[in-house]
Amino acid sequence: MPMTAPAVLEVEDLHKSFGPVRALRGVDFVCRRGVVHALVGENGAGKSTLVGILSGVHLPDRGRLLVEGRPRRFASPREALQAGVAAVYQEFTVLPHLTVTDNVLLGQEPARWGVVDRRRARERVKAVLDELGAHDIDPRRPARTLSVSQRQLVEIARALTLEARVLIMDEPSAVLAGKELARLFQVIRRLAERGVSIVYVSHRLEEIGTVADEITILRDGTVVSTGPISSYRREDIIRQMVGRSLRTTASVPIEDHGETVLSARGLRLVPDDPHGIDLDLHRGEVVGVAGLMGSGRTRLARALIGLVETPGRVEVEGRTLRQTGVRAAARQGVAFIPEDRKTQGLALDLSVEANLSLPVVDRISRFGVISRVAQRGLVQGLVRRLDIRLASPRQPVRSLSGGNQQKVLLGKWLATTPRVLLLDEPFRGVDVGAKAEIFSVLEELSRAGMATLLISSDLPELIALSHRILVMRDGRLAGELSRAEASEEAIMALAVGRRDAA
Amino acid sequence: MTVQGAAPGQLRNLAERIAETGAAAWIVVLCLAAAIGVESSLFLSSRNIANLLSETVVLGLVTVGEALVMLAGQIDLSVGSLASLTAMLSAGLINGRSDLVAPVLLLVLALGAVVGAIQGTLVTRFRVNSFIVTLGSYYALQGLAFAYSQTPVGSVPDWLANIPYLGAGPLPAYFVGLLLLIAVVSWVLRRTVVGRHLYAVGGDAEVARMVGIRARAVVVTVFIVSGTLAALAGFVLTMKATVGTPSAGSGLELDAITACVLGGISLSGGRGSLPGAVGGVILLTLIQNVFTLLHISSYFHNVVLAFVILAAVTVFVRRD
Repeated sequence: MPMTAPAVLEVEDLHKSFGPVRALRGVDFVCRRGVVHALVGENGAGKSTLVGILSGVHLPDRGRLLVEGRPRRFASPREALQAGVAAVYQEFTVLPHLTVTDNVLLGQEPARWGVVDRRRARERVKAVLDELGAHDIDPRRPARTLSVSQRQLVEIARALTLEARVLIMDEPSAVLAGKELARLFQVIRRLAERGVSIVYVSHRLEEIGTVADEITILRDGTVVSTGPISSYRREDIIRQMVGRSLRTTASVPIEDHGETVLSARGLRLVPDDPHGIDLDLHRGEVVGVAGLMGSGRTRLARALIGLVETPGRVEVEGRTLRQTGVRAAARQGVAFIPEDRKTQGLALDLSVEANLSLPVVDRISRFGVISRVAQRGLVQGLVRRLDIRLASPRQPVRSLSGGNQQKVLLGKWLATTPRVLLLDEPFRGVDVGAKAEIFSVLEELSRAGMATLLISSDLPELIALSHRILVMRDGRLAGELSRAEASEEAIMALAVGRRDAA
Repeated sequence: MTVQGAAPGQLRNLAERIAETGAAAWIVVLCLAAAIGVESSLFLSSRNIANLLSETVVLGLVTVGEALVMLAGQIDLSVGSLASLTAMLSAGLINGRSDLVAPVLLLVLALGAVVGAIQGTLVTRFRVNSFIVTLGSYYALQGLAFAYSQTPVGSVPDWLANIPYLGAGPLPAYFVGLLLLIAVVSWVLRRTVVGRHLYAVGGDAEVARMVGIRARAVVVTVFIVSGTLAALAGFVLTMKATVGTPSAGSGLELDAITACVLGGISLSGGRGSLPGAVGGVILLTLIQNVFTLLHISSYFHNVVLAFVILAAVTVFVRRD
């Protein structure tokens, strides 16, 4: 119906870079009055950056932003709010030590002469919570006693009290299910009828069909297409989200895998998963793990080494993995290489040498004194094997390129001679050349018998390297694809899939 | 899956709940007072109580400011040095003249506010860690105090020097003044928009910013209040000593932080209450008083103090 409604929020030719990463490259976007406008795209397509700019968290490098026809520039969320643009954030912005009431009204407390009018505050919060059907939330409770979905409702309640003209909802449904979700959709429809425009960011195509009027699809920082939702089929959306033509891939890893190296049974990542996840890794096998952000990919890897508590059991070469944690797992033959090498994997200001020898420092030292000879031997071996480009083993890791940093991280754990490698997003932030090199290292390891669990959002790379691919959704295994079945479309279809009735 | 709660023991739960209300320090105070009251009849005398309460005023003033700064997630190490400097300036500039008392008081309060404003600006605009900023002012202000004079200076008119002794029975008048200030600030924290925003900024400055709170303004404000109260504390120090001493306020910053921690204010901000911190002030003063009363060496005083702090914090202060 609202095809003719006037535009409330418009952006033209929006550009934004973070360092070398060009998050948005010329985005045009129009949201009209009373319209629920879905914004979809793969991980890293630029949705969060666009939302950040619309809500005043980021300033664009270039481009125009108009609210009701007037050019605007939001230097802070406060300025966006004053212009009538409010956001419900994906990350929790509920403060655990404040009460529900204080959280809902944070930044917009009803007051006279600066004194909070507690009665009006209570009434307003109660009214909003009732509208959301959240009768089980006591407004006086401290927020830390709430469940995750209750916190999300508090967050949505906050947005409702803002009485904004444009409401941006970034993955509001991520932790809601069933009744709560249905109620959220009702509220969204009601707001839209009142003339509020809603920008609805979600991965879930199913619910977008239910709640949205229009859709804009982002890919690689540009708008692929935009239009009324009724003219899109689900397959169209998936295809346009994935878009890029499959790159011709590197050489194919060997197929004949041998005995089981790692075997996991009943890893339950979400409480309502009845069976949990079963997983076997064989000698020389590369098993890919795909899924959207927050689907539980990293949690699966962490559960394998006991960093996430699950009722399941993990065996490595027939022996139950007893001690948990990165170091203990490494001792038992499982190396976990985390996603964020800057904060989790490497000491950037220490030398390449120090980083590489860190996990095995016991082995190359005697009475607590590191043997320089043993260290040099170890480091030279790894640098050669991984072809790490450096001027000197003494140079700080920070001074290396992203790809070489990634190789140092890899080498650090190879030093522990693992049988199983758990790799989380090894291709993130590395250039094409380094990607190819990491590629060949992984293939060589696979050929030498290493079992690898490879988590990646880079689907072409994942498809090229993996013997089979597990697709995660909502903390569960959504499906498994053999090499023959694996395509970006098939993976995305499983990843965004149909919401379980549970 | 990280469900809150289910602490290992109910005692631990109880202790945490007590800590939450800021009552921990008060409980220790009451136990200590009862024990000493039984031991020494002198302790509960009206004069000793008046004395004790009088001793809390300077630390109390500084602690109110420090509590606000800490609730906002910052720290202020400059308050002791600032109090020393303003004590020197008050005594030196008044120099016995009654007609200069009011203007000098205003001058030193303004100086405190300016110091606070500069510190707040450095923290918010230039994003320097408040520990570093106020450590810098700690040295600078202490240096200025000694540069002014290494020996006690100035004097105050008799009526001013008498103020600490005014009052009814065990209640010194200026202690009642402190209570009023605490009541007002507590009310502001609990009931006003500014108070809510202060807790929000201390809880998570980024979240506060995202919901449209002017986090920088809040932080600058608490530093101004802290500076002003420290300056007032310096003036009170001179009033009590009748002269200005360059080391008058030394150590106040650590005592104030200790009082806040004992009172349950989180070192990372956003949690705790002012009444708790006041309990901390009374506790510190009480321990000092008991040692004086029992004629025990002040060196032991610090050792015992350390144990009391560690014990109280271990039992009562919640772990994040």
